[in-house]
Order: sequence, then structure tokens, then C-alpha cells
Amino acid sequence: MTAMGLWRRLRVVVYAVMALSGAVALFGVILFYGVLRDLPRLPEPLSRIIETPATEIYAANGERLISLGGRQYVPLHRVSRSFIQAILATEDHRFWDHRGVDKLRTLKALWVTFFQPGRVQGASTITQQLAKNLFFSFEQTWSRKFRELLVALQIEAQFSKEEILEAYINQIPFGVGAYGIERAADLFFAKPASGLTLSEAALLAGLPKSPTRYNPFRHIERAKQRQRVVLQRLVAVKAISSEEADQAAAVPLEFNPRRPARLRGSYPLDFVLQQLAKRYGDEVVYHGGLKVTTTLDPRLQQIAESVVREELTALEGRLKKEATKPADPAETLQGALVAIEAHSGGIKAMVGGRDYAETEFNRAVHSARQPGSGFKPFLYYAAFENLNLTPASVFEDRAVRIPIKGAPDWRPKNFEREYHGPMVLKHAFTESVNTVAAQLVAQVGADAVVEVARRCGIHAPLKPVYSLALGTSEVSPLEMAASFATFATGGIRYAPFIIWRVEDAFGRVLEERIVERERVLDPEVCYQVLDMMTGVIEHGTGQQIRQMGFDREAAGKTGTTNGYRDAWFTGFTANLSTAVWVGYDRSRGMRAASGVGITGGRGAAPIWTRFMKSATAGEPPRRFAKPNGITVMSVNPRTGRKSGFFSRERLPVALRSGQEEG
Amino acid sequence: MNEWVEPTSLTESVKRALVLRNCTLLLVVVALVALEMRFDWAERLLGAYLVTTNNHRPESGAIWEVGHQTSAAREALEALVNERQSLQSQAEEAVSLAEIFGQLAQRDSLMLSADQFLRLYRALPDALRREVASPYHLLTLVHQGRWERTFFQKQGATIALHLLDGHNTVLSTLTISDTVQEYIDRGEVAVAGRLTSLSDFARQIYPANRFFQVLESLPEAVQRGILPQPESLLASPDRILRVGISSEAYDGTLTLGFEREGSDGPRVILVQGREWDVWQLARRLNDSGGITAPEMRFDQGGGGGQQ
Repeated sequence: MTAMGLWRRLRVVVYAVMALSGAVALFGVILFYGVLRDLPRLPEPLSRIIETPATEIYAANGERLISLGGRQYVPLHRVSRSFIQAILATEDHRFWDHRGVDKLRTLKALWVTFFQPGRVQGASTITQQLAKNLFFSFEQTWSRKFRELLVALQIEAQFSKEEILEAYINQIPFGVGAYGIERAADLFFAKPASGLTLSEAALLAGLPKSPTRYNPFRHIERAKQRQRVVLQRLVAVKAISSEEADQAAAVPLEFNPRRPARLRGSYPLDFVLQQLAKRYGDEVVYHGGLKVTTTLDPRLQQIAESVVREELTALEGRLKKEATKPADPAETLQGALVAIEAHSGGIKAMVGGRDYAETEFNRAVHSARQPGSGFKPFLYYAAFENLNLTPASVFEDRAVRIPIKGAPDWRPKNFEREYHGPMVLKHAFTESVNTVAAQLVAQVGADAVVEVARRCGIHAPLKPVYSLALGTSEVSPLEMAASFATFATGGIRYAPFIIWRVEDAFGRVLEERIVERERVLDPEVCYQVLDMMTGVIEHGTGQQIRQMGFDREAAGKTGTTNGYRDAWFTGFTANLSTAVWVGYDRSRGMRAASGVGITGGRGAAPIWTRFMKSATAGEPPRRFAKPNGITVMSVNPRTGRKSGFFSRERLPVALRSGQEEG
Repeated sequence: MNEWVEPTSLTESVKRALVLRNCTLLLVVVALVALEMRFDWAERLLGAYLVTTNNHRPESGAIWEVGHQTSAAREALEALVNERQSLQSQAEEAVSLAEIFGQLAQRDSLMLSADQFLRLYRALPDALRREVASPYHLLTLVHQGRWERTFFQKQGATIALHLLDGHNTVLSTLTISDTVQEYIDRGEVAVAGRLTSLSDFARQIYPANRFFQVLESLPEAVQRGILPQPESLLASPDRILRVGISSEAYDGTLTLGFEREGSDGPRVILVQGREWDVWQLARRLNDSGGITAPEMRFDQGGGGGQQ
């Protein structure tokens, strides 16, 4: 090709480039005016971004459990210099020089994006990130990018660099629900942002890139690696020397020991939020800056969570290997625990499952499971009240057949498929004898049992059929704990609740809980049932509780359903009523490798015991109040006759006045 | 005009390319690019222009949405708090339980301090006080020193009063039936029996016709003060026989007793009137030869009756 030919071609290229540039410029102008109308308005001042007040939820002792939304604003001069340097070195080291766009970095990023397939390089400045976080979604489109760029240019034109940086560090997400550096410093290191060391600042500055991936509470190694990257960036921009970087990397980090577990969601907090949303609506709850005081006891909650987790892991280890498929959450052994203060109804602890991070379904409140024999206290109360029976009344444990109108006869069986002949009702109760319970419900009627359960606070639908007495109607652990608390208080019912008080952001009271009490059970009959429930723990199906060393006065009842699908223990001391359920979400039985079924005594009672031992540690012992009309008498457990002085078979029973001779 | 001719040689092409106009244009472009790289004039220009359009642009985007939600939440809360506070202050300033019941018509519950409740309780006529709560029970609670507040709660037609301690635990619950509420609303209560059996009225009992004669002679404002709700007396078909005036005033009020004979026996309807107005009436009654209780003792025909 001649030189002239080359020149011609060059000219064509020059014209083409000029035409293209013109077209791009024209397109840019059109695009600019096109997006200008929809471009969001900037707030003035920029610090308005932190004006949303946080809704804060407190425990009964005043400790803050969680803060939702809102920002803990901190002025720039009260943030550690190390953090400012670290965040600038990592995110935008030319921040002080550019006007919203780092052109060199953008060109480099474009080059990498277009000419190095498979690689993507970000070029967003801090101003652009701020624009994106404040106004735009996270969808990756050219149009969004262009709008974000324009807003960044306006931010730079309207606000000083210090204002921009201050706004940025007060809203970036650090993960675990922490937005803004002050909150992050408090959450991760329990200190203000001004007190962050180089090592801590470098760790925090690395988090915004991927808060979940580098969450130091879950992935400490990744977080440390990222910290080293940040320190290298600081060396690269000559903010620190490499020796300082090495020293900072070697410093062991002292994380906040208490906060993290509570700052992610949890079952009781979900329960609180659901109730608040129902009363005030989501908008007020998440943007209104409410101050909510709950009945929760952080110490008990922590004990409950760890005990449930540890005991379920241990129990799962004992179950048949082929029965467990841990990959499927529905196939994971689950548990729930609710602890209620008996004399107020205040919920002190609530565990709705093994791990909130795995499944947020709150089994303590929303699951409906058959309680098995755990329902028998209502039956025995109904029988004592309506039939004037006593714990010393004798029934025969035998094969029973109860005719039912229009249906086949009901033939309930004992759990062990054995019969033990005549026995007093207290013995039948503590040993959870189904055939005796069946005879009782046939005499007193299912409606009477439903009525007693309702009086005690069971709200779930209850079918008035005979099998109800053996716990075939489904209930939640919350209902069980609340209804058993009625026995703990001698027949006074307190409705369970979790919210004590709600205030607005200025401390003005919106609502406060009134602790209403209602006598629903006769105190003497109630004490008779309570006395039988203490027998369950002393020498009945729950005696493992004593074997595990829980020595306070307590009462309760085990519950196990057909096929070992549900294992329950609900029990109480004079102050605290606690229900524990263990089972699978899918209807599946629990059997140990030896083939032995997991009953309430084996599966739930150990959780109850460990929890109650720790929960009541240090409290003065308190006995159940015995009504004046009650006499305790020892009887023969088979004949019900008063035991003689030399009799070896003695069972203490609580009798009302006039029943001593019966 | 000369026709454009394609350059025939490279020299000619270069010559043409390097004319002053092209060079100037190139220099200007290069200068603009260099200045942009050095001084960011394009960003500044665009930014400055965008600032001028800021107020005409929509409040859209995540931060504004949150802002709007926050404003809405604040407004909702403000309304809630204001309503609560205004009802609360009205309740604390109320001078009768009837006012409290009126407020309960607007909402389901309200809270009063124990002191305010006691003030309102003491302002009730004796007979009504007993209907609301036993004074001995209240005395016990006051003596225990735990009773701090009273929570009024509407429960269907009745009103439950929960007497609370400092931890909002219910110490005692009282119930005010709809009938008693009506009595309190009307400022009256009916007591079975005759005026002469009520010691409060022993000194001033008048035949009904004389009472109403004097009442009619008074200005309407005074009449209203004496009988704020005469409609309630008109509602009953039974004729009023005698009227008594209580000898003790309480909190600016005096109790009037209207004795009437019904199918269920004699009853006295107690009504509270303004002390000053009732006093004027009593003065006129006495001036015009009012009949006091001792004189009435054996008088049946004039509207009285022997016990």
C-alpha cells in the first residue's frame, strides 16, 4: 500500500473517531437530560441520613438486646485516625484529590472489563459508593451507574470532603446488623470509634467489601486475611510502615464477648417484633424509634440457648445413625424451651429451635405438637373437682375398652404394654398409667377436661374426645409453660406476655403491661394435683431430674407421644415454669441406637434440669404454698388405705378436709 | 466557491491537515482534556449544574423512602402519644367518675393515680361509694402503701378497675356494673327505703310540692345547678313524695334525696347539686316555713310516710 493510501485510511479513521465521539457526546447529552428529571434530590444537610431513630429492645434488667434501624452518628473528629486512613487506603486512596470520579481508576477498570475477559474491577469512589447506598438499588445496569455518577458529582459540588467522608463512615454496613463505624466499633470491640487501634481499625475497614464473608464472629481466619490486605494497602499508600503493619497484624484481637449472639435475630426478639408489628404496624416498629422493655432475662436466655443446643447435639449423637440426615433441616433434631415467671406470666427465656440461623420457625410459639401425658394434670384436676376423687382413690390398671357412640371402642394401652392391677390415683399419675387416665376421662367426660385446660390458659383447638386426656390435641410449649404456671401459683392464672412497656423515642409511654391475675382453680384441688406432680419428679417418670442433681422443690409432668415423635417435660418451681419439647419437624420417631425410644424423661427432662439448675442457682429456696385445708397422709399405693407405722409401702398423698376418712 | 479536490500527494495532505484551523482545534481539544485531567472542570461544571436543579428533582431513592417512612411513623406515634396524653390529663383533671366514664367511651382503657381515684371516689354519694368499692378495702390498700395507680378497663357493659402497685401488678380488681355507671353518669343513685332512714337528710326533709314550688321560683341557672339532669327524674312514672337535702357538703356539692313510692316499695333517688345553688334553695324553703324531719315524723298525707 502506498503512503497516500495509508494516509487516506488514517483520515477515514480520524473522521470515524470524530463522528463516534460526536455521537457519544450527543448520546451523553441526551442521556443526561433524560435521566436528569428522575435523578433523586439530595438531602440538605447530608447528615440527615442518620435521622431515622432506632427501635431498641431491652431486657427486663434494662440491658439493650437489639437496636433496629437507625444510626449511631459520630462526627469525623471522633473517629480513630487509623480507621480513617484504613478505609481511605482500602476503598478510595485518591479521595482527597478527585471530584467524585477517579478517572484513572475508571479507565483502568474499563480496560480490565473490556480486554481481560472474566475479570471485573471496581472503580467506585467513596462518593459514588455513598450515592449508591443512599439512593440506588444494587442492580448492575449502565443506566444506574450513570445516575450514580451524576449524583456523585453533585455531592462533590454541594458538600465538603469532610462532610462526604463523615456521611460515608456513618452509613456503611459492617455486617451483623451494624451500620456506621460507631455501632460497628461498639458491636465488635465494645468501644467507641475514637478508641479503635490500628489492628482493630484495619479489621473493620476490611468488612464493608463483604460483611458476611468476612464476619469475624463466624470466619475469623478470613477476617484476619482481609485485615492483612488492608494493612498492606496502608503500607502502599505510605500511611504506615511495613513494620507497623506486621505489628498490627500480630496483635491478638479482643472481641466484644457478649454482644454478638444477641445482635443477630433470635426467637424471642422475633416474637416481640411480631407483637409490636401487630399493634403498631411495620412502619412504626422499624422507623418510629420505639423503646421496648421486655420481660426477657438475658442470663436465662443465654443458658436456655446453650443448654438446648448442647443437649440436642448430645441426644442426636445417641440416636440411630441411619435415622439422621443432617443435610435436611427438617430431618434435624429440634427442640424448644419456654420459661415463664409463675407469679406474673412474664416470659423470661424462649428458644424456638436449635439454631436460629438455620431455621427461624419458632417452635416455642408456633408449633402445635401433641403433649402426650403432659395433658394429664388437667384430667386429674377435672376428676378431683367433679367426681370428688382423691389422690388416694383406687383404680385398676387393666386392659380397658371404652365404648364410643358411632365409633369403634377405644382401647388405650400403657406405654410399656403392661398392667399393674389396683393402684391409687397418685401412683397412676406419677407412673403415667394410660388405662387409669382412660377410665377417669370416661367418668368425668372430655368436656370437663377441655374446660380445665381452658381455665389454665390453653387456647389451642381442643377436641372434646376421650383421647384428649392422653394428650392427642396439639399445643405449643408456650401454652404448656403458661398453663402449668397456674398450678405453681395455687390456681391463679397469669396470661403470658413478653412486652412490659413501649415508649416512643422521647420516652413517652405508649403502653404498659398490667399483670392481671385470675383465680381459675380451687387452691386445695390444685394443690392435690401439684403434689402428684412433685411425685413425678421424686419417684415417677421424671426422677432423672433428681438423679441429675436438681434438689429444689419442683413439680412437673413428662409427655411422650406414639412412636416417640414428641418428648416433653413441663415443670415448675414456685417461681419459674418451664416447658421443653424435643422432636423432629417432620413426623418421625426418636430411638436410640440401642432401639430404646426417647421419652420425655430421657429427651426433654435433661434439658429442663440443666436449665433450671442454672436458672435458679443462687436463689433462696422457696416451697409451694400449701392451703390450710390440706392434710398430707401416707397411704398404701395399692389399696389407698392409711399406712401403718411399720408399713413399708408408703405414699404421701394430699387430702382435702373430709377426705382423710374416705 | 472552489470545488474541493482530493489531495494528490502525501505532502499535500499533511499540508492541508496542519492548517492553522485544524492545529488550533487540536490544541483546544488537547488543552481541554489536559485541563480536565488536572482541574476536573467537567465534573465541577456538571456538579454545579446539578446543584441548581436539585430542588426540582423528586425525593426518590432509598434514603428518601426511609425518610418518608420515618415521617409517617413519627406522625402516627405523635398522634398516638398526643391522644394518650390528652386523655390522661383529662382523666387526672376530672372532677367526677362520670367524666372518666365519658372518656372511656372514646377508648378502652385509661390510667389514674391512686390519689386521683380516691378523690373521685370520695366525691361520690355515700350509697354510690359503697357500690363502687368497700371503703374498708380501699383503706387496707392505702395502709399497705403498695397501691399506686388505678387502671380502668372497659369489659363489655361493665368497667373493671384494676388497682395496681408500682410494678403494674393487680392488687385488687373492682367491677362497676352498667347500672351503677348510669347512676354515676346521672349523678344519682337509688336507695331502697325512706328519707327518714338516711341520717344525712334527717334535718332537712320537705314535701315534694313545696320543694318544686320554690325550685320553680328560682332562676333557671340556679335550677340547673340544683338539678343538673332533671330528665332522669322525669323518666320514672312514680310520683315524688318528699325531698331531702343533705347536711354535709363535699367538694362543692350537696346531695338531694328524692323519695318516691314505686311498685317495689319506697326508694330514695340521690342527686348531686351545686352547693351554693342548693343552699339558696334551702334558705328559701326554710324561710317559707320548710318542714324539717321532726315535724314530718307522723306526716303521711303531705307526701311523708310513717316508718
